Amino acid sequence: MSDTITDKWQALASSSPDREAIVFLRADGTVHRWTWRTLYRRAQHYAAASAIFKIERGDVCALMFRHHAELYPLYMGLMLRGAIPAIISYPNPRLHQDKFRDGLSGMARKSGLVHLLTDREFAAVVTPVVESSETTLSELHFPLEWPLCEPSAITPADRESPCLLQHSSGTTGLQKAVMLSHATVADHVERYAGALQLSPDDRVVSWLPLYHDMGLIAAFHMPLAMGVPSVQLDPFEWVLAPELLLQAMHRERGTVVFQPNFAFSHLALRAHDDELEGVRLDHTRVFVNCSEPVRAQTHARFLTRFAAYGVKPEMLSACYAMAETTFAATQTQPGTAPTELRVDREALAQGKVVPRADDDATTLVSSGQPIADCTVFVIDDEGKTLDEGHVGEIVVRSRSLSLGYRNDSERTAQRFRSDSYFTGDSGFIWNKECYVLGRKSDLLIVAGKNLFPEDIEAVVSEVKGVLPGRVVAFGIDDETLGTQQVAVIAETDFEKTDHPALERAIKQAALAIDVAIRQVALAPPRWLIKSSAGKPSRSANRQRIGELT
Amino acid sequence: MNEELAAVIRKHLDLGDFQLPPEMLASEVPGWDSMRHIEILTAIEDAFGIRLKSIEVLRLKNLGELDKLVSTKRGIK
Repeated sequence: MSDTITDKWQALASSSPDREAIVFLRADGTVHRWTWRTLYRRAQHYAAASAIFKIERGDVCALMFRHHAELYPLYMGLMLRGAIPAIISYPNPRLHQDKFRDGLSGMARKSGLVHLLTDREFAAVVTPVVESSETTLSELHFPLEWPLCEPSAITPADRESPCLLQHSSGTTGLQKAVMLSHATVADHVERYAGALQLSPDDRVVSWLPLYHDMGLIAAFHMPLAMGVPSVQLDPFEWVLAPELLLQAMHRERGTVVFQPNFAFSHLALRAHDDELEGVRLDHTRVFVNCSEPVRAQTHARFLTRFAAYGVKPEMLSACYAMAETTFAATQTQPGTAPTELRVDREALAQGKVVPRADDDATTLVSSGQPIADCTVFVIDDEGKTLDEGHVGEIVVRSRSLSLGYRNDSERTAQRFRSDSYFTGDSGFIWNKECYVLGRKSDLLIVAGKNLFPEDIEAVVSEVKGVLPGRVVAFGIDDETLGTQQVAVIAETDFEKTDHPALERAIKQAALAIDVAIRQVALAPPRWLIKSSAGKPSRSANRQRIGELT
Repeated sequence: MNEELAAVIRKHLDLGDFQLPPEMLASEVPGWDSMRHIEILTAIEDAFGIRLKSIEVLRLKNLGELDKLVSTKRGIK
């Protein structure tokens, strides 16, 4: 482990120029096959062009694109230039433009974004942000219109220099940005590839967006650096037509898939047999379940649904990962189904793990053991390390730790201490394996995406008819979809309100920040229980939502 | 939009008498997010005994186009 991400690319481009690096697919049948020769050459063109457009070493460059074949070499070109790419989500039609701009301004300030590189179609949305006098963004670029520049000499990156910036959640201004060095990323992808036993015969197939750590590190950087081809699908097409993943697995002989728990349910529930004719999945090595708590019921449903297509229990796998530790902290053994542990439900609620086998047991799925150079332990509220079988906050001590949150020393000091990251996730260790139960905080994880309840409460609070500040948002479990759904309780002038109309207005308001509320419960004034801080308590009121419906 | 189709969508998303003009995008309908999208399509398939292929649905631009596709499948002129 002594090179950088860009050294690895250069070596692959010269050793295996004709080998496939990235296969770009679209539902309409568009295929673009980047070989190492064409991909690296194009990246060099972008590196040279970015110099002409005054993108300097160390500049943070936000990349905002739809699924596009040019995004990969562009990203790589910026890294060759010595700039720091950060892939961010683009505005979708659901999102209100002003809300998107607010989010982008907040992100630019917090993450120190200097350049924004995007497609012409987003010009109208983003121009006001870049032109604002208060922003850190100095320049807007449309790199798909850049001329092809002859590659110029590339200054090799230093291992300790910054490599990329990734965000821990969406584009609402509350997200946290972590900066990773070349050494951290290059070493991490090697360690995680080791844990997955990745070999040159593998092929990763992914529908994940690159603005998500799993999409960026696991499904893009790792295969790319290890010389393993990756097949990239459009996340928006996949969610509407989940069969696309399985069709691509079959056609492209995919062996490795990464996706959050909800995606396993989504595929099991929504992929139609008539669109899977001839599809075989026997050659799959691992389906990695990561980014939200892994559910036994979801795995069982997925296995039953796709057994006839060749899916076997030993193909299932689980991982515990986060942007703050580059990506993976733990991973189950490939080729072996993740351990399922049946424990007493009551005792678990009290923080103790007591195995039991009858109907009062709940089944938990292991996320495996720590990967190389990483240790995982659990602490109590006082920070004391707990023994196996006790529920507490999960702490990750890792060589792949980021340097902390960019421009946020306070939060960095809270979360990054003694070479460890204090995750805020609740879980326990059992037989040296890590079990993740959920978030200690009120953060919601909906379909693998982190949502801040504060954001949802703020927009709902502004809806006419809702008593300002008298709103709580929280997650409710949806066993069928294998994820959480958003629920909201809002106080209103109960008797005088048209309930159905207000409920619709609340759902519509949340769409402006791209949040779909599944359940709205209206409550009379002073119904919500307050926490000790004087604000409506999310956890206490969550228990009472049944009284309103 | 065909009233029966509108009724299925309204009922599924609990929309009361919310108007669904043909030029409206799915993303503009309260509650119609990507996760519920396929649920809604399944409700439409069940209600009319038809099958909507994913690739056909991916091509649709708005509610009016969905209306046309459903009508064609149902054999309504």
